Amino acid sequence: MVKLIAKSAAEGLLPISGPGVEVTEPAMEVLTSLGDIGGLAASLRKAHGLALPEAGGMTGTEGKRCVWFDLSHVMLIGPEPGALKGGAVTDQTDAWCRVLLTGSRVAEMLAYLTPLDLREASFPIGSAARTQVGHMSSLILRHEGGYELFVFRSMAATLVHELEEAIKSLP
Amino acid sequence: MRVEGKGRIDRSRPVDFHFDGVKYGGYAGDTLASALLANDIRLVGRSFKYHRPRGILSAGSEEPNALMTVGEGAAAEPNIRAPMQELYDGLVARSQNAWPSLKYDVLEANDLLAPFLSAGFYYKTFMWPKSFWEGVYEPFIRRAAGLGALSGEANPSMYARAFAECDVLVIGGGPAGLRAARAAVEAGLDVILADESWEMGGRLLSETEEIEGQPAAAWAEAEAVSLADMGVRMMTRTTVTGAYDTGVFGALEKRGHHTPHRTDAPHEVFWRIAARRAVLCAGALERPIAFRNNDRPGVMTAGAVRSYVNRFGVAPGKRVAIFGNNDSAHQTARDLLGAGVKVTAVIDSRADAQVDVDAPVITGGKVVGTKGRLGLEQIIVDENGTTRSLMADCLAISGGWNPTVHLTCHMNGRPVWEPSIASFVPAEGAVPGLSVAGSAAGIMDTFGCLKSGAEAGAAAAKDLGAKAPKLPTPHASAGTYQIEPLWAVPGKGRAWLDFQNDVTVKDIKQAAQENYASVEHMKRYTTQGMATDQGKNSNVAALAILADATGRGLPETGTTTFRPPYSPVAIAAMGAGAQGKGFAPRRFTTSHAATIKRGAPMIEAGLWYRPSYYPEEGETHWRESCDREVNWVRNVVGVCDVSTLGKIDIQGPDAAAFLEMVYTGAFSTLKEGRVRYGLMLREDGHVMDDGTTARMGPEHYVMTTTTAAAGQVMRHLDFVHQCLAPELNVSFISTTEQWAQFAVAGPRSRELLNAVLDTAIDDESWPFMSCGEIGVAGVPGRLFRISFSGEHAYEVAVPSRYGDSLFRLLVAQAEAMGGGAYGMEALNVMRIEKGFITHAEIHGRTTAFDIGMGRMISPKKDCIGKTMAARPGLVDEDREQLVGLKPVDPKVSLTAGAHLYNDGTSPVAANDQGYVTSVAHSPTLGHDIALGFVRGGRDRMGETMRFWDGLRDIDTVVEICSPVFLDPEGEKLRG
Repeated sequence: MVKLIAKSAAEGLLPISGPGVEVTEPAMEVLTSLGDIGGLAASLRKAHGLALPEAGGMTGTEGKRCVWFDLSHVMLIGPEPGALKGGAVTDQTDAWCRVLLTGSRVAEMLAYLTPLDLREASFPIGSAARTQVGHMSSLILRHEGGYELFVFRSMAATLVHELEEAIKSLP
Repeated sequence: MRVEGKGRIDRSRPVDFHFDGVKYGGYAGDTLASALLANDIRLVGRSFKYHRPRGILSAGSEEPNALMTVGEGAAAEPNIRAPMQELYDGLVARSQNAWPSLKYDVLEANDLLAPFLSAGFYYKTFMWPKSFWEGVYEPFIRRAAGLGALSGEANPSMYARAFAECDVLVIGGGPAGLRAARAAVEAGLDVILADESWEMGGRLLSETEEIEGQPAAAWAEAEAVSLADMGVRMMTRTTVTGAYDTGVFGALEKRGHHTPHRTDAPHEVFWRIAARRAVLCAGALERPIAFRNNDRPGVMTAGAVRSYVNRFGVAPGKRVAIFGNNDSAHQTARDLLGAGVKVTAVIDSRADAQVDVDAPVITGGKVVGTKGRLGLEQIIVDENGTTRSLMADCLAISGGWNPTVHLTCHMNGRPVWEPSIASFVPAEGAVPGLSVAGSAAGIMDTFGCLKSGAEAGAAAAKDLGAKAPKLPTPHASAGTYQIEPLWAVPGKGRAWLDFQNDVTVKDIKQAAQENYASVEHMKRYTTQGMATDQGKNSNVAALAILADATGRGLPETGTTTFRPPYSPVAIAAMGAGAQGKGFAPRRFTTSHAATIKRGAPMIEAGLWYRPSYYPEEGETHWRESCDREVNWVRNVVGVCDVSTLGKIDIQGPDAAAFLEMVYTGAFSTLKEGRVRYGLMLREDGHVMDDGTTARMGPEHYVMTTTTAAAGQVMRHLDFVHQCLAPELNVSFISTTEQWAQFAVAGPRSRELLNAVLDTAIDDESWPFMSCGEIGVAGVPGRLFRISFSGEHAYEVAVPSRYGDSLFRLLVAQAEAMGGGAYGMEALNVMRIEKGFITHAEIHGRTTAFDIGMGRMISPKKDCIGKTMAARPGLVDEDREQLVGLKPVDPKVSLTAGAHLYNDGTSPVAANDQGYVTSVAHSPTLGHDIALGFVRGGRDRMGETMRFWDGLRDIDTVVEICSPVFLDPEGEKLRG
């Protein structure tokens, strides 16, 4: 029996690094978009013990997070969703290229890519924002140890190119 | 000439540079301008129109004359202002607009023709014959006039754009700016301090005065260090170029101008700074006075002379005369004397001026002319009606100071005339959130600048709810600024106002005389203020002369419109991040690597890259590959990546109702496990997109869109749900990227699939237009039995991480069976053979009626666009309708874009009967086929038409036929 081989979105493209910046691709986690079609909050709490995040925020901890995603969706990151009553459950595990950005100069580097105000007061740990990265639509999360960036899987090569340019732009 | 013991240059670090091929020396801390003056080079350029010899006028970004080309080869950059160019070892600069050399410029002849070349000359002269403008006059004028030239090679420099945010942006790092920044940062705010120079301090770096008992420059240096320590973000070499809505400012940072050229780091960075408040402390610019031949090399502004002496340790002349109408000029004499330079005379136009200087003083006198061929040798002074010559190789002029009001006018504000300083000052509140301090606000003494800066910084902080400290103002020189307006010295000859565009006092008067009396008309008629310095040196004087000539006051005359950028910004910096690969994201399918490996040329479909065809050894033309691929699908099996089609996952109790609202057809009746073709209309009744939608569960559908319209359809669905039908309980999200999807098409497609599917399928379990979940080589996938080729075909989908692997597997299987991968060319041929539409046909101006799908608009329900599509004009039988076309002579090639005419009529617009949208060579039929639109076409089957392509010179005859060229009954699909 033939077996299909899985490839990550940024396979062969990462890691890259620069002064004060490390870019890595995290291990794959299940991503599930959830739309509310009647009582999602209750079923999410019951099934996963997670509250629905506020707009621009997230709940849970590493390995089991629920992240605000857009006007009408949140993204469950980590656990298999299972059946969620009142939730429009859609697998998105393969739809996104995710990268982790760590190091002392990450915010400075991101200033070359995104108009998002990353200062502590505007984008503290636990924040999520849909914004522009280069010419790409993205999701940016702020974690304890750095930032996590999502772009469409098909744009992985462009993202890595843009990150390389941004790293070169650091004075 | 260097002055010992003066300046902020580092004499321990000598630097070599080249100017016009000759090697010179300077020091670290010099600018190109100061180093040229140190080497006694006064002639640095030729003027724009008359090619007059010109020298350095200023010490700042307002410089109109000393424009250089810096760098070599492709990286050479024209129009660099020498006073802004920091000197570095190996710098290569060339003068511009002179041939064969600066000293002997052939086009200096223009200067002799000056009587014929006055303002408006071009408008009056080059009118006839009309055809001569483009061919003769314009190229000649372009060569004669002008600035530096681009290298003609691709720009190798890297540019970046970047974003910054702050509570308070302080624009300008002079005395006011330094204090504004301190007030704001001590209030606990995020502060950005931007200055165009490489060090903070502004005028303080150029003056000999003291602050708190220490030299002003040293105070500024210490203050800058202290501010940086407190967390102020110091953006040096950064010019704030524009003020925009919502507190956004554009700023250009020069990163690579002060070092040898690099390609691995940005040459310039264009910043967008979002600031809650801004304080403009941009200072003031000194203006010259117009008099005959006031443009000779050696004539400079008085402030520039002080900059060169005090900041750079350079005396711009051996015998310097000073001419001014205000007290600030007098300090120039003291500084020069202090540096051991001879001061020939201090001429103050005010009869009652008190000049306390140890040099010959002429009060109530005026400079009325100059002498010297390529540089100043003498000045002619008028003292109470008697003139005499004085030896001087440098003349320092001060006609007063203009506050730098530019940014306050970028949002339609107009500055206000302030007679006490004979200048325009910013209007209050001209830019929301921006206040003005220091000499930009018309405060002309250092103490006042320090004080107003601190107050503006504190006010901004208070405005933001922070508690601002009350800063004591440091001890500094205070005083009143005495000035008596003097714009132009009366007299014959050409007195220059706009050095960069060669505009004289007479030109302005002539404009007024010819009734170009509005300031905006005068500007365009004379070109005053239209050069790269944007009139920084000449605007106010020109307005004053216009006011005088038209008998109006200065306030009534007003100013022209100030627009961004404050100083020139390269297009490359504006477009930073969009060069090369940065132009647009590139979307790669999971089969990209395998496809490239097979040598397939890629075509761009929106942002996606898709294979055109897969060449095989021995094939020399794309058609060979394409025909082979079509034959594979028609006879065996082919594999094609179709992941780029938009996929939208739709769930919820009202999913079916939602689909029926956006689609023309019924979807509530679609059975689970089945797929249906859907047509989507715009609100105006024209076709928006088409695709298939599969029902995966009772409340779960998967919609596909075309590749081209995926984004548009998603936006449309969002609009419909949010604005038109928010009551529908439905949730949808794009899954385009989640699934790698491949078409497997051809008579043996099922056989191929059965080799990779976990459970074998047959016609009964998977009939035409069925769908469902299925294991694909051990991975949960989806299978749809749909066809865009007209063959027995499927689309198989797996999560994208397996896409690369599945593509390789499917292609290997297909090849083992005698088929293989096919690209967009073959896909297109097959869909044309079947008469399937793409956006070539549903191009935005066609209706369901036009494409023969009028009956797909269900009469049983409403949908978006239904009512509008029923308008009589949109269902008129004479409309252009979709038809097939085939050449009467099968050897003839057809082209898309051709137009169709009745036999025997001439190909003119009035006779137009339709046009051709898609063309292919059908290897199955052995001739070209086309789809197109013809007036009343459905009733004209069998008619012949004139086929005319005026662009490619094709004139032939085609026959109208059904758009379905192959298998009209669809037997192969179901086979």
